[in-house]
Amino acid sequence: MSLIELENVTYHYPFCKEPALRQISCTFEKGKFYGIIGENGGGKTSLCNLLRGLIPHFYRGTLEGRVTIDGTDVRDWNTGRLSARIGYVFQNPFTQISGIKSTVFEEVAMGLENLGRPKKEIVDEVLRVCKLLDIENLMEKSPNALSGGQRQRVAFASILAMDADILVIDEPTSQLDPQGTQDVFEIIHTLRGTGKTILLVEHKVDLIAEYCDEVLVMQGGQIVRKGPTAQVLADPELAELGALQPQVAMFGHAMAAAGKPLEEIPITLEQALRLVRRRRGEV
Amino acid sequence: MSIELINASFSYPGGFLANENLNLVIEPGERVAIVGQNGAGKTTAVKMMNGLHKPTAGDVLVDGKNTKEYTTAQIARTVGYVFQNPDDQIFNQSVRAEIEYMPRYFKLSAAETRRRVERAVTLAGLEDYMGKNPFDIPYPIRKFVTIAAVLATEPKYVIFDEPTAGQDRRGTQILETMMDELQKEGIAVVTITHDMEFVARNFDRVVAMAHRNILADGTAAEIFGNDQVVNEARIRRPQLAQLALDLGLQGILNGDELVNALD
Amino acid sequence: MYSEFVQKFFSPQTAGNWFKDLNPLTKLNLLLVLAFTTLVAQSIPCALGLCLFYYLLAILIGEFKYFSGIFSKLLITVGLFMVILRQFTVKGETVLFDLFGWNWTLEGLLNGLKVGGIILGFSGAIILFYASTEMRDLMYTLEQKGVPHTTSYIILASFQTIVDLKASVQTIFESQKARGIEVEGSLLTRAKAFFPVISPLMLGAIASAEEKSIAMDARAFSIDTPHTFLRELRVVPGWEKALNLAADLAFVAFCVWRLLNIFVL
Repeated sequence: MSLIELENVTYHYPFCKEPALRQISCTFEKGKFYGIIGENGGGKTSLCNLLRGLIPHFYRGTLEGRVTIDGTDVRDWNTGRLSARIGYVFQNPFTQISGIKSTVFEEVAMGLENLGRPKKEIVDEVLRVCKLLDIENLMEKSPNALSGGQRQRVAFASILAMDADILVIDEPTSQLDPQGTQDVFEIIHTLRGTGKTILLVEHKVDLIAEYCDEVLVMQGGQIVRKGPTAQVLADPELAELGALQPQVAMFGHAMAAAGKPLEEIPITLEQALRLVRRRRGEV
Repeated sequence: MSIELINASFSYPGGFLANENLNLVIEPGERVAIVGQNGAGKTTAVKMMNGLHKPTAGDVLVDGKNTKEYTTAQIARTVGYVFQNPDDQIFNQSVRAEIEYMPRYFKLSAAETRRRVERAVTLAGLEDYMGKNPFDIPYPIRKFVTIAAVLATEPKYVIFDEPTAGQDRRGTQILETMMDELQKEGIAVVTITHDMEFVARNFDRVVAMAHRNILADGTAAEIFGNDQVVNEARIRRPQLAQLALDLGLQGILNGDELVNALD
Repeated sequence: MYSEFVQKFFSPQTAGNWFKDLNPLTKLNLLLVLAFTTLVAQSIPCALGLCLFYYLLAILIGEFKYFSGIFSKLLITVGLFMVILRQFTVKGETVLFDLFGWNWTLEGLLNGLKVGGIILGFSGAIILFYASTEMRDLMYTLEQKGVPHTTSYIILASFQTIVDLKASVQTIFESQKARGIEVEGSLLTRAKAFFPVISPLMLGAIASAEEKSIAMDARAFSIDTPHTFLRELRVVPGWEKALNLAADLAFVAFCVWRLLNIFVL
């Protein structure tokens, strides 16, 4: 069932000659986990902005084509109401903290306050989400005193509390250290089991390889590949399309080129281990 | 002629100890990667190298000069430091003006300024962006503007703080080519990074830090091959190095070595 | 079932002190009435009495150290400044003493103390208000009165923004120093460093503000349905309303009395 549909979408930011999105047509189905990869400036963030309604409501510019979210054209959505349907987490852990709440608990509750939910419902929901994301020990702390990774966890919690069915996550680990990145990896793992529709933009292909059902590669404002994760990430032309290939996939291709092919091209470490062991006759 | 940390320790004014008894020498033309989790003291250690932090115990010598006797700006002529966020540094209206600023500030001749700017621009791959406003170009490319601006000061040692964060393939390639060129010119490169694949590909020498100390200082193969160091510094091995270890193969850092080791 | 921390959200927030628990607008009203009284009274004993009263109130609300730390410094600087200033601007006749070749007059002294007293009357009120009230509680009451949610956010966020800007300046300072731009030394050197510091600071602040508004939009900020408040204050009790009214009426009466005094006498 299609939740989001794009038909011949072309978009120019204000005063820009070159379009950021070029003749994009695709659909996103309910319950699937999509990964979006590609070079910088390729259109990944613009796609996220479009799905969140920031294009055209916040960024203006010229939008052509049809974008339907839940049956309604994005131009007709009120961004406030859209945020209850589509959650959005992005790179900068510092700007996602409101700065006006003195405890993490209240920070996470903020979205629900805005939505006008009853107080008991808010409290129960915040407690549920804090437990889910393992930040119960942070609940009474000030959000302004947290590390980057901790803030990103709080940002995730604040969005999850609003219980949107669709999540758009734009390079959540870009500005984090390995510990923070690990924190986010764990959250993504948890999200996988919730049945939500997730769109994850990342440069770290390991994350994509581990969790995504389908991968889109964007280059020059267009979708140049879309398909099942194993298929797209194993594609030898991935580098030309501007995307990073998992190290193990490159290794798989190198093995084949050296005349020592594996049964298939691996995209995760576990898979590679299994395949090499099988080749060595160890399994 | 080198950067020397001699029993250097650093405590913040409030009393918080960030670095304890560091001993480290960076020779001209070396390429050193500094790794370790956040809080290990990497940034404070590196800030002692360019005089941003003066050691609260011990000494730091840059080409024989004690950093305690000079201002940061003076030491910056020898040790350049590219901060992680370019937006904390850029203040000129065009990329050209930003790169030209320091040669002009140093009152160099027009010819010398031009030469330095051209060199920096070529190294950073910014030929197409010269006339543009830095804020009209994408963030990852802006990072190259600050790199070029620091390169234009022609320091003998350059420190990069997380240069690959948020970069795509093209960006990382420009960085790698740049580091090769700098090494040819005899300029030392010190990098703080969390990107282990980048480390394995480009750095002969790796310094692993943890709990305010230097844990280990050796080749990439030595560091990644040492379980204790990897665990204590909380670093992740490059994916293929990890695969090799899981297969029981020692001393392998990258794909080519692994392919050759397998039959 | 809920922890103590969470349970607190289900009842009105209290600070455990009768004065602090008054509605922010009540506190503002009472303190401003006192401040304006000094303005209208134009009398030194009145101002002095008020300053003493402020100290007393600070003790009663348990914020003596905070209040005294700021107000005492203000008392000395403003008092001294006004007294000295008025010596130059007021032509007096009764010479008290001769200092530095200038005649220090009684009229000047009294005038200085009077004006100083008024300034202190207002300052003390504002400091006490700030010491006894949390900004978010004030914003809460204003929103109840109809102030838009976005305005309230902007005001509250600016307090945190100032703290964030201070940290930003530090980083920018460091990155410019690391380039070779001298920021320490002569006035001229520091002046040259001004633009390299201010420009990234402002641009960074604008970029952050833009990102933050997008982040807040993701929290349904712009939605048109009514809000819930997790932190609520008690409903204003009848006696508090009466207190407000009484204070305002007393003030009006005092003004009338003063006016009569001035025009009739």
